[in-house]
Amino acid sequence: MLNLIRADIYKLLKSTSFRVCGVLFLLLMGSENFLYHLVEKMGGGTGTQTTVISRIQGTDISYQILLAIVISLFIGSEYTCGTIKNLASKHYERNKIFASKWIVSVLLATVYFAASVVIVGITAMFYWKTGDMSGTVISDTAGFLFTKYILVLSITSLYVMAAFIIRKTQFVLPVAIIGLDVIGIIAVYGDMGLTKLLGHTVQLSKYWPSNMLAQIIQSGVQHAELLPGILTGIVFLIAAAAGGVMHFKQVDIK
Amino acid sequence: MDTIVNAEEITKSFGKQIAVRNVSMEVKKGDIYGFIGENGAGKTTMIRMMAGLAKPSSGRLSLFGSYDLVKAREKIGTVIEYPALIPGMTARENLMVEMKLRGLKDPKKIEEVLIKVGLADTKKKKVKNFSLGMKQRLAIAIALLGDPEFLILDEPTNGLDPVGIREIRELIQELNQEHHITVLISSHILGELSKLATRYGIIHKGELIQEFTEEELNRQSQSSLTVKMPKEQREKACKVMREHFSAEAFQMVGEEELKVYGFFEKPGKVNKVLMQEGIQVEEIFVENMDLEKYFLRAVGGAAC
Repeated sequence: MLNLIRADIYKLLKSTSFRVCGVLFLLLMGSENFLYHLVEKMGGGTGTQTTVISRIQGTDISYQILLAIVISLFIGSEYTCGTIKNLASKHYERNKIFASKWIVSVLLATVYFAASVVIVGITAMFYWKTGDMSGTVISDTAGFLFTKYILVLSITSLYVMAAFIIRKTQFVLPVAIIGLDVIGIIAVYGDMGLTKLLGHTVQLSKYWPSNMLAQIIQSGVQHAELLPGILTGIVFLIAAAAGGVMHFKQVDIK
Repeated sequence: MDTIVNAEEITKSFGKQIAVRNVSMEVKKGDIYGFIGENGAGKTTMIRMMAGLAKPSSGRLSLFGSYDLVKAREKIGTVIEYPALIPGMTARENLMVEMKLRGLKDPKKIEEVLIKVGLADTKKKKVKNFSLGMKQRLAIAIALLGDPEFLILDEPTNGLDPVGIREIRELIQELNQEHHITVLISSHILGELSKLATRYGIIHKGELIQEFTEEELNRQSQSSLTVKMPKEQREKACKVMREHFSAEAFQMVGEEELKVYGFFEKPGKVNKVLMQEGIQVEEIFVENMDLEKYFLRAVGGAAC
């Protein structure tokens, strides 16, 4: 299993998509505070006092699209190039092959998440004061970031599952990039239909990871419901992994 | 353990379509097993099941005498259908992936296999810039990294020029004879296969119709007699040949040919008898049968 993970990490680090998206990620996160500061100076912003802590809390997660691209190409190219055959014909069980890809993808998401927080935190120091560093603020921020992190991981898990089910890069990529949002929108319409049908408010769509993440970011640290966020994240993290591995174990590799 | 692969009544179906039907076959240690069949006959499906890429719908498969196929696959190397390589990496980087997968540490191993397949001087050239022959050789190098005892090569000479085909053939012979690696090889180029294989299996429409050794092929293919005559007289000619010469194996080919296999009478004598029986012989000659003809006889043509 460790050998599989080592080989997968080597492949990922050597891939062009990882390097290109890595550069884009650094540019994106590095410029975030510069742009925010610019907007503030032009009279925009949230109207509240901006601090390093508030910027860390509000760290953007638009790098999700880069994650979708890297993971889709990382797994999809195994099918497109046929190298998945080299893995499956070795002495490795299918669930270990899947687990290795899943672990490496989750590691990548963790690196993106941690790096985004660190980069935003460091660059914020050039523009704003640190702000309130009391125990409550720190624990609230940690809880908020943890919830976001779990939801980012659950979305990553969905990317991995989609890549194993769809297989071909040319189909995986568009599905990963827009699929989550499309399903989220369909779920909202589904809620509207069910509400009308049942005669009382149905809000199942908010439990879709990308919808939940958007909702938590919008609510902010003070008002976000973290527990449903964490539970949603954990459920999708596990369900997507289980769905993906079950599918991969069943299918023939062509 | 003398048997490397033992397939017992393997069937593989995709929905209602049966790709492989009740195939029982054996690859013995030291064999170069030539697996022959037309496109869609079931060769690759059978090979994919051995390699763990597909599961049989029914039947049992053992590798190295074990039904724990995942563990047994530690000892096999595969190249299936086309070279599965990472195009953006160099040959060495592709081999490094395999090194990590197999938990190998010694980088000398990479140079060893690159020299063995003749790719030692590719340096920083990316695989996407390799010729097909180079890709095939690199795929074989990857298969060789773990010092396999059994190599499965599905159409390894596909798309290669004559020089590339010869190189692959010589490499396979070297691996088999000097490194004692058992090889299962499928190929459409039967002439090439006949220069390599020590045992053969013919698969036709999903069924293994014959398994035979190189010696059996040589014995069977010593000669066949071809007689050209009007189409409508061929049935009668079969009857005459049976009665006068105890001939048994016939095949009608094309519009006017009748082939008689395993037959050693002189053509002049046969000609005389056929003429006496009123058959208008237009041409008669003895033909040595190679693997290709043997295969065609096994899978095609109408018999009397």
